Amino acid sequence: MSSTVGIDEIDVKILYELIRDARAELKGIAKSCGVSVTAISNRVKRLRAKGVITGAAQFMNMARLGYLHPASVGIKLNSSQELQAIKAIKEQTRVISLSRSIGKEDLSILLVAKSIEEIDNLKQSIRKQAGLNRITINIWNTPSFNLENVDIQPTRA
Amino acid sequence: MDRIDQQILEELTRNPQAPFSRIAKRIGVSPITVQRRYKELKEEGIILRSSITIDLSKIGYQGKAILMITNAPDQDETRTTDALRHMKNVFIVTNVVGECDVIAVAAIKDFKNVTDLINEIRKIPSVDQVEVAFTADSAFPVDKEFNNIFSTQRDRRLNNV
Repeated sequence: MSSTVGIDEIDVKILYELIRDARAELKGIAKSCGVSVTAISNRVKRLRAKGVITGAAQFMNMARLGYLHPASVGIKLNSSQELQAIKAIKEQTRVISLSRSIGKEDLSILLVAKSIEEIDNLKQSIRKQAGLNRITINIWNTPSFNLENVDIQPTRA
Repeated sequence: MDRIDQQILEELTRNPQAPFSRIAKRIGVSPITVQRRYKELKEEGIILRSSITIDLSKIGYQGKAILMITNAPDQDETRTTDALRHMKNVFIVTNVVGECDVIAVAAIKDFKNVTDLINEIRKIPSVDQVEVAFTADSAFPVDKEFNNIFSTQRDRRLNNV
């Protein structure tokens, strides 16, 4: 586990502004925090250097771009086949994220496909290469991202 | 959408925070053009929101919970999603077609957090069942590689396979 990074109220405010809009201007953030643009810029640099901010994501209208089917895939594995399964899945270009999980599933995958057929092909190739026990697919309909819901509090390192 | 729009989208997927001036230089149009096109793409609903990505483990979270929710048969489905959208730390909510009815993703600090959240969800009158998978993956809201999915280069690679 990576250790916690100390952040104060101003850092929290900066994080929320940049969650709301990754392109938010530092000038505006500085104004709402009551500190200088340089101070904000230094804080953003620090948050990046410490690995709190890892990058940025641009959400697009997937359907308008031809990606009709975001889907989450849950996989329950036979024992000892985790590594093969992860390798097989990582080769799939449509996979957005893959994480090990505990509970209902062993591996949780999020992917975006252009057709149902594509999802089916992915499923079959994963199944073939990884000898999995059970695979469940849930196709997302109108997801909403309420990113501001995440509760960020000042922390001490 | 024309070629310039596509190039702007491509640049934004490469770096969502790239200044318009840099995008303009890379694709050989004026910054004003990029700014105008960006605004239009937003108005047309092609570009949605952007967000920084955060490593939740650095700010006190242990990981994420993926909640798979089944609705009660005779209830209005929208009540579940409406309630979830206002819950603390629940940052993705979607109706799904598949094994369950709704999937929600929440940031999780500790076990108490999880039990509180599940109890809160069970109290929603339209909810029948809640199943959960935990992951120590602490990327919020998505992996920083998320944008790659929209890259046309990626598509080309896929077509060549």
